[in-house]
Amino acid sequence: MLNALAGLAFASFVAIGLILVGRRGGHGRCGRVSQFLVFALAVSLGPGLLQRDAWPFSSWPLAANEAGRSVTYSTLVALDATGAEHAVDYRAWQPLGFDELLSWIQLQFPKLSRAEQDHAARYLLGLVEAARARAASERRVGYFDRFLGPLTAPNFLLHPRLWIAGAVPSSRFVGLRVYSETLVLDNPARGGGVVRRRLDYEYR
Amino acid sequence: MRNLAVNVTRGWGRFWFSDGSAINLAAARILVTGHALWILLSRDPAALSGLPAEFWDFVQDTARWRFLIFEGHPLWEHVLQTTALVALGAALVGLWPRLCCLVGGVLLYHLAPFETIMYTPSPWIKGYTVTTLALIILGSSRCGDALALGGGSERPPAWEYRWPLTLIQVALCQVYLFAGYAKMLRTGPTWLLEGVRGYTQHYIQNEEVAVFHALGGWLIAHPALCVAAGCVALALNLSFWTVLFSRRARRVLVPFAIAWHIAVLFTMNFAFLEAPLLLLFVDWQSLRERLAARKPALLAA
Repeated sequence: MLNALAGLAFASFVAIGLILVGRRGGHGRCGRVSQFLVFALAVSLGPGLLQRDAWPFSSWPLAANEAGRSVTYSTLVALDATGAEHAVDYRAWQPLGFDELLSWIQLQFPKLSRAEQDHAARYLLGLVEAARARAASERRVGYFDRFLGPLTAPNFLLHPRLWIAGAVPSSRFVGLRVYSETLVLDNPARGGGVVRRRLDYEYR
Repeated sequence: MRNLAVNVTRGWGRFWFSDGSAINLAAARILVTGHALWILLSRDPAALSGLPAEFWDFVQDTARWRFLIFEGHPLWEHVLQTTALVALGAALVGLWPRLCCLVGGVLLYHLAPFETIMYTPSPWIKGYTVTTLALIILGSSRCGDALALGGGSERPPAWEYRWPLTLIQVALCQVYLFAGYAKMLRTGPTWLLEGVRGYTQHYIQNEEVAVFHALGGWLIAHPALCVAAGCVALALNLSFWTVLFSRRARRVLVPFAIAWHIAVLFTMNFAFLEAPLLLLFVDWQSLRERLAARKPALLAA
């Protein structure tokens, strides 16, 4: 229902803008513009006040939820032929966004059948192995910087570049593991840090 | 009651229909299209159309129809993505700016959700949100009457340059207003006590996110400063809208917001991608006039 309403809101925003405002001059133009402005204000304030996102009329819940004492999230590592785990540079997953991929892994991946999980994992393994091989030979990880180089827009959440020169894993990747990690948000001296790491899925 | 209606009408007229500047609206066109190009050239949403079926299993049909996103057509999506880039580039330099802004805005509405649709239909944090709205607004406005390769000679009333820029600025102010409102609604006043510390701790302790550690680590070692930062963040959120009405507020809050986003980048590892759009609050017309007035003095020196 929300998708339908949000889609209608945007379509109306475009249509009303074109019909009321798009045509130049004419009698009562100020009034027509005012009608468009009233509509624009209503359709943009509604999602914010009700806190129901209707993108691009967003509710903007930036860091709005309680931070909590601990947080559980999914993490992905690659495996080589010896079974050793390797951290994966966030750029290796492109065109997938790293945060979006982890959210999908945490929320949707567990709902898939084993066969479907394996099929998705095979795709991800192909993606990350191709990125590793390219990083090892061309010293480039990912391709989002193909046009703008160092001026490429960052992700909203920054991530460290793990596969810098000399740190690219030399062994071919043959598997993936998905872990759930629980992080207690406090200093290590007070019990903070990763307190639990559970293997949720493995693909070889 | 009649006086109230008259005052509201007058206020409405002053706010939206005072004289505006063709230069400022054109500068907004350049900033918005430039921002859109920056984001789109730094990503590849079209490629996500080729993801395997498993990534689309839980995408609702209503979300597909909302954005006209139907997986399995990466070539077609690349055509649309290229069209968006060409339209945005043309709008940037002022070639058929209204049409190109409109085309760019509609195509961004279609392309942006590819980045997140596999788990949510809303790409609100990906840098496209205010830009998409702004492009539609610019597509309905006289944004090509200055700083444009194909500019016409016809000049409408000056208020035609005011309302589109003001509406885009309102959209940007809503970001801050709703961010503060959401904090109070979802968490309440305890956000002030724990919010900054908790989020900073999370994003410097999580090794997959932490790029910058030092400033965040220093901050969380001073709990009183975390509370103060939370108060400042909320005050900024809830007061930013005053820049729409006050030049003084604009001179203080816009630079402060820019500095705040830089501080958040180095403490929490958050990059607010819409931050460059704060330049929409600069009065480029006045700046141009001041520079032009100083030019003879500079040349003489």
